[in-house]
Amino acid sequence: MVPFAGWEMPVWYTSLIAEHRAVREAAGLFDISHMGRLEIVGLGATAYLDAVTAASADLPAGQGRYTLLCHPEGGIVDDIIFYRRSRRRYFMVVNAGNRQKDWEWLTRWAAGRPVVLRDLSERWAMLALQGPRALALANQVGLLAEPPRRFHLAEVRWGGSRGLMARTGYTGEDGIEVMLPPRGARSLWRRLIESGATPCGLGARDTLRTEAGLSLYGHDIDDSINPIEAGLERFVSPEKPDFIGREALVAAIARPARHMWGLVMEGRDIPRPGCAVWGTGRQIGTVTSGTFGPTVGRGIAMALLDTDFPSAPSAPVEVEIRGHRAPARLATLPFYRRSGGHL
Amino acid sequence: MTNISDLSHLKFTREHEWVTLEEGIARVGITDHAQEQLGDVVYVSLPEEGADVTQFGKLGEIESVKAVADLFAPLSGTVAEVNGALSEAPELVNEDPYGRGWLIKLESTRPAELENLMTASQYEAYLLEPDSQH
Repeated sequence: MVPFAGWEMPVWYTSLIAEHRAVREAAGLFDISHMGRLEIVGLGATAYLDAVTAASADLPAGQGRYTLLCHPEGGIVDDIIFYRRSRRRYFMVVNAGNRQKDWEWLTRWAAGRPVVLRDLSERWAMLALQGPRALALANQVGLLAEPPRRFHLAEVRWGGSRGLMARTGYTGEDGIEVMLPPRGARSLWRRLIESGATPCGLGARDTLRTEAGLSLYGHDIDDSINPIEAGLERFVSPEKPDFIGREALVAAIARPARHMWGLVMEGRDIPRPGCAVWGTGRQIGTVTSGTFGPTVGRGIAMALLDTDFPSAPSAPVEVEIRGHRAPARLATLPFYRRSGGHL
Repeated sequence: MTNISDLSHLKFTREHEWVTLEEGIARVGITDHAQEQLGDVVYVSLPEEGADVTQFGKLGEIESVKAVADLFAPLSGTVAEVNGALSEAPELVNEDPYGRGWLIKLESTRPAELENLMTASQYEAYLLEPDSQH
């Protein structure tokens, strides 16, 4: 067990690689109760979310969106998913480590607006069931008749418990994330494990999301990295007339200083966060996430590189790993894409 | 899984390596506790045959998906053989740390150095020390 944002969480239950494979090939189950969850309600909810997030809040009920909260200078406060539940009611999932910071930031920008924010994090536990067998397994245990569409949210019942379920995840696979009161979540966890889901820890969560090229706050994105640099431009809507950070992001789109690339190691070395990346005799950037990719079968990394280095897929670079420079090649993200769908 | 009480022929370092002397050749590996802490091993980096190592000096590196750890030589000597099976199947270190997952063999060792190492029961007690971070 390791401490993680105030929670004690397992890095693995039995074997990280076995857990990783279970998610790629069948179904894995994660306890992600640490995630922060908020509700935004009120006459001004849509206008408020249009102001504080980088994406449009004009969504049909039930639909959600992955996007960013940005500082006026463009740096990322947090990456979040928000869902519209009804005309004046939204639901937001935020990173555990940013829960307090987000709350302060969101309430500050809510001042004077007709919106109410509620922190619902303690109300529900949250489980993620991920993998090609995830939906079949959920159906088999009687969790859902009709799964929500990708990035949609639906109400769910399990036994006597009521909660929410979203067709989302952080693994590069299809799957669902379910929020239920703790008692209901415990019984659902047991039932899914009995039915063949593999319990998965933080370790597999990290290798799966890295292969899928998904950013981790505190590593690939933070207060000093903007979404354009981080390769998250598609989650930003500069056509929106105004939102916090818009001017800075429009400028960054025109002239980004850094950009995110994938790296695949040529040999057996494993890059780790913080490793320097070298190209044509100078340091051109830094590894932000690095691990052995069990499905890729090699060391892989996400790295923030200077835009003045001529980056191209397969271009040779070097990663400085514990005092020596190991050869690697640039790669477009993600490293892994599941067949028959997009992430 | 080998029980630690069957390991009376092994000696142990504080860095969780084990060693056993068989007809003048020392066979070296990491302990079950060490492999459990590291998790799935994906890469072991060791010196080539003929290299000289010093007791408690750096022997190489062992890398799991999540972490990298230095390996230390339990005895001084010359590398006689590296476990070639590990380059194709590093998971042997996890599956059988005292058997097929051995790392390296050393020759020209100094058996007197064994006195500087822990016995199996001492190592077991060492793992149970409450205040130390192992």
